Amino acid sequence: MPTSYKATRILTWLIAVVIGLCTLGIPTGYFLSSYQFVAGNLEAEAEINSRIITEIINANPTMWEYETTRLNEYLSRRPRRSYAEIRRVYNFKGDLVVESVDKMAPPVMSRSLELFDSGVAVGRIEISRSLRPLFMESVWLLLMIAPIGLGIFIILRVLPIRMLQRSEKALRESEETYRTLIDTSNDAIFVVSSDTDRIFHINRRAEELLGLPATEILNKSLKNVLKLGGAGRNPDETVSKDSEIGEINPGELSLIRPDGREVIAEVSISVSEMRGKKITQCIMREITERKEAEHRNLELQEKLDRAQRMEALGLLAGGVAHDLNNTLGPLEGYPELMLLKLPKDSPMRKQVMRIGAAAQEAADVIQDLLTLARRGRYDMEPTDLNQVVEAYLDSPGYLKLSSEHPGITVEVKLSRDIRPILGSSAHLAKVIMNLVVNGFDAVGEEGIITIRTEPRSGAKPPCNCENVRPGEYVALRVQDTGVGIDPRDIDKIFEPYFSKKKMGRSGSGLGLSVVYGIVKDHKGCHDVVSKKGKGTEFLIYFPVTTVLEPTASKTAHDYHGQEEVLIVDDSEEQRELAKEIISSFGYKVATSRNGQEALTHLRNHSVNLVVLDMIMEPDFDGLDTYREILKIHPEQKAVIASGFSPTERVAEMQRLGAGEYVKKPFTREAIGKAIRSELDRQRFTAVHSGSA
Amino acid sequence: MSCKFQKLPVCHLLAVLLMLGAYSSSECIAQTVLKIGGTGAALGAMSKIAEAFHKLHPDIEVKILPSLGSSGGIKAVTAGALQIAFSSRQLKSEELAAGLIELEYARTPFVFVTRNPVGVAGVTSEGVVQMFSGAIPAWPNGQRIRPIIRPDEETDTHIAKAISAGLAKTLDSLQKVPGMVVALTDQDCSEAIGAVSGTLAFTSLSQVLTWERKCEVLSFNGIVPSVANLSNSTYPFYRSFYLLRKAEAGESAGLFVDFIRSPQARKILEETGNQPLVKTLAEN
Repeated sequence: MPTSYKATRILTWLIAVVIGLCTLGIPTGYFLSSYQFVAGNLEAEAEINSRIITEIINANPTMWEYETTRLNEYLSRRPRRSYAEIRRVYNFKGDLVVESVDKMAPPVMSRSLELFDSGVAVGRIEISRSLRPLFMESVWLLLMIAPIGLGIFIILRVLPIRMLQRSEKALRESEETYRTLIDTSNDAIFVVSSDTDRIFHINRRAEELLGLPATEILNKSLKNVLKLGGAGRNPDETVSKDSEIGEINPGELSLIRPDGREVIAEVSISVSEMRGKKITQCIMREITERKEAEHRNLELQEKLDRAQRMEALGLLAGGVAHDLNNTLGPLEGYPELMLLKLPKDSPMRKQVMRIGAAAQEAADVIQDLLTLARRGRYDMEPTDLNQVVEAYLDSPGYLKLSSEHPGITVEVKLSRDIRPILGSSAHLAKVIMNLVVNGFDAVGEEGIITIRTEPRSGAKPPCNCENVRPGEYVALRVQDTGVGIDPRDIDKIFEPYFSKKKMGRSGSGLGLSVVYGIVKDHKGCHDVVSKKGKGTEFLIYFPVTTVLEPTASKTAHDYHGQEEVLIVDDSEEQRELAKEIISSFGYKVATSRNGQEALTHLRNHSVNLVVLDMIMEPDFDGLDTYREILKIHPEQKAVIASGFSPTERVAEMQRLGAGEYVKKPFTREAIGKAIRSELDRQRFTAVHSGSA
Repeated sequence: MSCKFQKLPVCHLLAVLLMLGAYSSSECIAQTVLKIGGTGAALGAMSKIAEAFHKLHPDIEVKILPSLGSSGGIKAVTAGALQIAFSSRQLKSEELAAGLIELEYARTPFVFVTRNPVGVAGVTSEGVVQMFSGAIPAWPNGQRIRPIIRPDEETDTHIAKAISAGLAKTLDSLQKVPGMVVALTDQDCSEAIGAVSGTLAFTSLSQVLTWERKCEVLSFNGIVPSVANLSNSTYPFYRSFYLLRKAEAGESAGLFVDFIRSPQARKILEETGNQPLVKTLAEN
């Protein structure tokens, strides 16, 4: 039964009784007081009249009872405002002597007094008055008061109860508000009696935080309820009975829930006074996720810093590679031309071949640098990672490495269930090579290196790398039983030139950095699991591709032609080298030293294709030149050649219609393939033929 | 002390009388007491008649009781408390049925009076209305007019109301005026007239003449209220007096009634402002 209902009923009865008593009491009181007044009044009148009649008796003691005129006159005299009365005078025998009678109705109240003659009773006067008027007045008073009483009852009944209901509603709403605020708080709240150290109130979040029902929390001390996991003090030890009112030492706690999960909570303790007793309010906010996020942010920041360092190094490497490429171009190209011209029995062929091989090695280092700088150009195509692994295992580099480490067993476990990935075989081979070389170096004399490929799919990304989406992946796992990596170094191993081992195949500490760059460029991710003294496993994940078949490659002799080609390059060595290489395919070659000269040439001549160096004069590079060429020959075909990795300007140029991008220093096959491919493009051919 | 000396002879006299009474009651014929009483207006004249009657009949002591009023007298004589009553009203049928014998023995002029000379000798029928109503608040000598009225059922009131409707209405209204002097009996009226200056009251000439105190009788419409004017019907307003007795009232009562018819009694009545109405035995 609601409190308000009981209070309302009690109040209603109370008011009804009080109003009823007042309503009945006032007329009753009026009647009683008036009755007393009438009685007194009658007695007074009887007294007065008896005195008058006594005078008459004294004046005529023997015949007084016959003085009816005078007696009548006296008896008939009434007060101006009087009730109806009957006044009678009796002689000593009780016979009526005289009377003055007013018409009146019962009930009647009478008072009588004896009449004396010199002390001897000779008669009696009796005055009667009807109480009907008084009774009727009382009834009228009751009738008048009753509606007033009823009105007062209604007012007293309605107003206080309405106020009571309002105050109860306000109290209930206030209580609900505070209860809701507390219960829906994201903070766990424990209210502890400072006297008993017992918890006497908690909210829902407190149960969730501790993983305990309220029954196992209430009436217990915080010490018994909180299972501390790591650092932090139990609030019980922080607060005592003598603690001052106010906030005390907020801090953090590590709590172990019954399910074993560790949660971190930020604790705020305040001591206050409630109803004269000290209470301790312990508020715990779970910050586990925040802590984890902070940790992740820290890791991300470190990765960002590392990426920025890699980017800076890449820029440096890219710049160096461009300059070296220009230098290495003739060193790589001329030996090939010289070998074409030298007789097969010429003793110079061996030296020329060594020059070419050295130049190739230097080009590989530069390529590593470009890869590191992620400026390398990949010929991405659907690739079977197993084939890449197998090709590497058949490569001379691996055979040489394996022969140099006879105590190391290489186990290969390739899954036939993996799907193709979109990648560059050459670069993927470089990843495998670097990881295997790294494994050999880690193992040393004896040990096992395991190379695995396996499918990996799932809703979650296969590793903790950022920007990796859930989906199907192909995992490349290279595991060794080597010395392992110091945990302090594990985050630095992908940085360039961070190496604690002797120089490898890719040389001078760039191996894992190259792996890092290639994996990134393949939209893959990596993970490293290492235990000091036990070995290391590199896990590389590549997303599978939906492109079905790898494109067939052409052989060198397919690239010949007789079309006219214009080479535009600001480097004379590169220009001459390119002229000789392209001419060797049968093309008619012209050269220009820069863009403006090329435009002049093209205004007077038309060529089938332009080989455009991308980086030339700062204010008129390959893109600017091509835009102007298109004004002269809107469908001019072009191939882009540059010592830098493809940039946005290269992409823009290709959007305008230019063909393949060839990285300098280019091989004879690379440039031949690019030129032939562009010239063979059907659309341009048709259009070009049409225009010709 | 002076009182003591003054009362001493009276005491001796009373003692002697008691002794004589005792002797006579034992040795002589018992004295007959005739109790008479009634309206106060007739008391004065009746006292003188009783005195004369006693001289004529010494064996009959006439005891005149204080004023009982006409109704009281009738009741008393009906109850046998009186042998003779005198009334100023006629008997009602039920009173006659009780066996009473009624005899109108005299009439006395109804008069308007004032205590002392107020500058006027008489009143008029209109003037008396104005005076009682307060329209004329003061006498010509400047004295305030203070009316005295009688109870509504009194014979004098009936006579006054019969003078004019205006006066009747005025008297009715005066009955309700608070503080108005209402004289219950003829004696009270006489007392009030003597006590209040500037009085204007109405009473009977017999009452005025037999009263110890003097007062001024006012002419009415220029006619002096006298027995002569009443007898010759010049003055129209009068009050009748009746003798009432039972048939079995006794010999002494009959003797007294007979005495009322005597020339001696008639003379007393005329002297006390009454017009004798009963004829003498000789006239009968």
